[in-house]
Amino acid sequence: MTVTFSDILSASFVHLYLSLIGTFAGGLIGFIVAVLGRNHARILTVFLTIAELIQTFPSIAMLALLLLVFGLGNNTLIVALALYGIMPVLQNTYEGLSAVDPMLIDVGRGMGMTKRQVLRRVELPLTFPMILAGFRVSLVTSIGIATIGVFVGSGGLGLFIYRGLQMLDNQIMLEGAVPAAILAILVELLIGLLERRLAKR
Amino acid sequence: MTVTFSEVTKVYQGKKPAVENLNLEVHTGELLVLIGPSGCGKTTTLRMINRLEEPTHGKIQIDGRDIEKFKEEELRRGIGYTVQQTGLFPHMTVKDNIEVVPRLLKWPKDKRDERVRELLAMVNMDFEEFAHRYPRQLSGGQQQRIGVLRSLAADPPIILMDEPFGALDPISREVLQIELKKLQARLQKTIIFVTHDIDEAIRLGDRIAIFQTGQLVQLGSPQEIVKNPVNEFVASFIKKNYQFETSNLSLKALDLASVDFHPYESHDDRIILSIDGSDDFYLVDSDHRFIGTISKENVKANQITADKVLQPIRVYDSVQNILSIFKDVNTLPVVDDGNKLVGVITSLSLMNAVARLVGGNES
Repeated sequence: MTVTFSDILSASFVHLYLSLIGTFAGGLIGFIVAVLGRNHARILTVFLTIAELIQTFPSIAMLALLLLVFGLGNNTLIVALALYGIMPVLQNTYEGLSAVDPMLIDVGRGMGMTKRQVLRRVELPLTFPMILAGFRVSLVTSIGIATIGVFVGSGGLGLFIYRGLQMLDNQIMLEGAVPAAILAILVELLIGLLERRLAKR
Repeated sequence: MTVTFSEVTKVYQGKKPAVENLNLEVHTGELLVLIGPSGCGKTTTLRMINRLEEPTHGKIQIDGRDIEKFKEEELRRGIGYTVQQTGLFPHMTVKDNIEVVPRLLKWPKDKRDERVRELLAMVNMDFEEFAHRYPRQLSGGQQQRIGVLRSLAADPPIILMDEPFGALDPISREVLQIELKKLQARLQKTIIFVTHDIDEAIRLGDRIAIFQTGQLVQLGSPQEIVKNPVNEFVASFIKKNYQFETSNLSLKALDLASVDFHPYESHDDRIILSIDGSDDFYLVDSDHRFIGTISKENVKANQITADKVLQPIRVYDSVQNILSIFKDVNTLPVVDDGNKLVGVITSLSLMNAVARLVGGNES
């Protein structure tokens, strides 16, 4: 059996797509929890602890557990990635919001912004680079974890790696492993570049 | 617009009152400085005007209307607000920063653009050069200018300034004080200005309100406060911060001179005058123009000619000038522009002037 270039390309897209959806979903949860809980440190600590706990779960065990609920297919992988994706964004958003100079919030209020306007026009724009960094870490991790999604029947580059290992065919294995590595590095570089451009302001 | 405090008290739980029973009226178009040591209640007083703090008792009115009646945000959009360290939003350009309140008020884009150009022109900052810069690309003085412009953006009748120049170096601070003074002369806003710098207060204020541990202890024009401090605290506050600048700034030769002449004799069109604290006599013509000084011996010997060629000084000569001359002579006649003798500086008159300055009692 041979793998064509277009097979690799389409598998890469699926791989990135699954990683993105999972990361976005998890990031969104982390973001919302951080924003809602930003003035309730104690509640937020509970959420952060839970998110960290999830993070320590071995990924293969996580997939096995979720398999029981979500069955074979992409959904199990996406849910796993979402769970892993909560912590980095939650933590970075919370830290970023806490780091906003209270004087700027006071000035915003003093000029007649509502609390919501202060959040949208002052706090979140100032926190955005941190949120983006959390998202980057989370996405890179997800691309790695997504390669073992093949065990729960999801698509992506893991399929080639698994097949290569089964067939003792290094070429096929590398046709999965190398694109996955490149994908992770590209994401890291591109988002990192965006962060640096934002930080310049 | 006037701002009136009636029996306003602010207590933070479990602490001594930050502001206690404050009665104060800020007049339309005046620049009122609130001053005092840290923790005296000046900033709390300022922040109660735009309801960043709510009074525990009493009420605050703007043009007779209780500020509680306004919606918080609407009240604040109608009041300019500038703080120390500029308070500029680092993620917004100069233009975006200035436009914050106009945007909240939903001004159309071309009106906002025009306003930003107009404001930058007021402080001689070029629109093309500065409008699209971020705050960190500006000097401290430029940032603070933008902070002041931002508070003017929606043309509010009242502006609150909380130590706006506190973080600047002395030169930039002075430049901005002068600019603010000019802007104020032109715009006639009601400005409430908090500072802990008495020089700044005296330079800028139409009136100064001095606070001590939550109490308003004295309210008056800079001159009144410097001349007649109401108690030891005010006197020491002024003295500590303002001792020698006062003399540099405002004292002129005439302030140091004794002006109580006693006619001694007249000869034809010449008059001999004596004055307390000086052994010499002073010779003037019938128009009181200064001719010269005569020693006691010569007057007694009826020698009516000026025997000392003492160069008189002018009424507006500075203190430094006078003191540098005075170390070589005992007395120093003071003349006006028409060369008329108006006073004489003697050791006695100098000491009186110093006593007035330091002790605050006229003698």
